[in-house]
Amino acid sequence: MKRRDRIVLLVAIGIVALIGIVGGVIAATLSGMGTIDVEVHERDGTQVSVHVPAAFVVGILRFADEPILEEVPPEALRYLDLVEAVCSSLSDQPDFRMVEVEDGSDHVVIEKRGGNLIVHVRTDDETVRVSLPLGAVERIAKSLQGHRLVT
Amino acid sequence: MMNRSMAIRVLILVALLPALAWAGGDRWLHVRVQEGGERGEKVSVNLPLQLVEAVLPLIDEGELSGGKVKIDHEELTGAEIREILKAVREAEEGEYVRVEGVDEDVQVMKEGDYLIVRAQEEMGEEKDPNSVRVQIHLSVIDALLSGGDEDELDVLAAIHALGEQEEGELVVVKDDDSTVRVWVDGKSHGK
Repeated sequence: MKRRDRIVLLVAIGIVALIGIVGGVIAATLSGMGTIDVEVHERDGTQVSVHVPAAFVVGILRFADEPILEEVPPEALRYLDLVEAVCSSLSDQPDFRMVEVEDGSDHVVIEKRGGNLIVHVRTDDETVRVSLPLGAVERIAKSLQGHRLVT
Repeated sequence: MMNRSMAIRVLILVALLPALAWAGGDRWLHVRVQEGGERGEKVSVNLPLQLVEAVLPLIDEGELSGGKVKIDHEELTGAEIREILKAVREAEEGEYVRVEGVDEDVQVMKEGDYLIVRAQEEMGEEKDPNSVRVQIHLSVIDALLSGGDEDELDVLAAIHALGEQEEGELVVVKDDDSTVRVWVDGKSHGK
C-alpha cells in the first residue's frame, strides 16, 4: 500500500471512529436519561405508543425561546420548584405504590418504580400508561425555572 | 361560641397537619378510604414523610405558607385555637369534655401523653353509629403552639415533635358507608 493510501485509510478510520464515539456518547446521553413513555390502548383496538428520549425534551427546553415557553400556563410555572422537590425526594425512595384508587371497574395506580414515576389507568374503555423518568422531569423543571427567572 | 362539629374538625386538622409534614426518618404516612359494598371505592395513599417534608415548605396555597398554617376564620380565630390547645395541654389527665346529646356523644380526654377525641353519632337501631377518633401526642400540641404569631400554627416544629413519637393511628372516621384511616408507620405499603 502506498503511503498516500495509508494516510487516506487512517483518516477514514479516524472519521469512522469519531462518528462512532460521538454517536455512542449521544446514545448514552439519550438513553441515560430514560424515555418518556405514553401508551394508550382503546377498547376499539386503537393503540397509541409514544416513546420520547427525555434528553430530547431537556435539550429542546434548554434552547427554547420565549414563544415556546409562553405556551406553558403561568399556574403551572408556579409549581416548578414543587415538581423539582418531589422528583428529587422520590428519587431517594425505594419503589412503592403512592396512590391506588379502585372504583368499580376503574383502577388508577401511581407508583415509583426504578427511577420512574408511573401512572396507570384502566377503565372499561381504555388503558393508559405513562412513565416519566424522575431525573429528567427534575431537569425539565429546572430548565423551565431558568427560563422563568430570565423572563 | 364554637359548635361541637367545628371543634372536632379543628382537632382533626390539628392531628393531620403535623402528620402531613412529619420528617421523621423513613416513616410513612398512610391514608385508606374504603366505601361499603363489593364495588365500593377504595383509595390508598402511601407517602414517605421525607417527601412531605421536602415539599411542604414550598407550598404557598391558601392558609398554608412556609410550613405554617394561618388560621383566621370568622367562627374561630388562630388565637382561639391556641387557647383551646393550651387549655387541653394544661388540663389534668382524664376526661376533659363530655357532651352527651340525644343522638351524639363527644368526649375529649387525656390518656397518658395523648389527647384523644371521640365522637359518636347514633344512626338508628338498624345502622352502626358514625364515629370519629383522633389521637395526638401532647408534645405535638406544644410544637404547634411554638410559633411566635398568634394566628399561626407551626407545622414544621410539630414535625420534629411527632418524629419522636411511636408509630400509630392518628385518625379513624367511620360512617354508615365508608371508613377512613390515617396512620404513620415504618412500612411503605402500610398494610
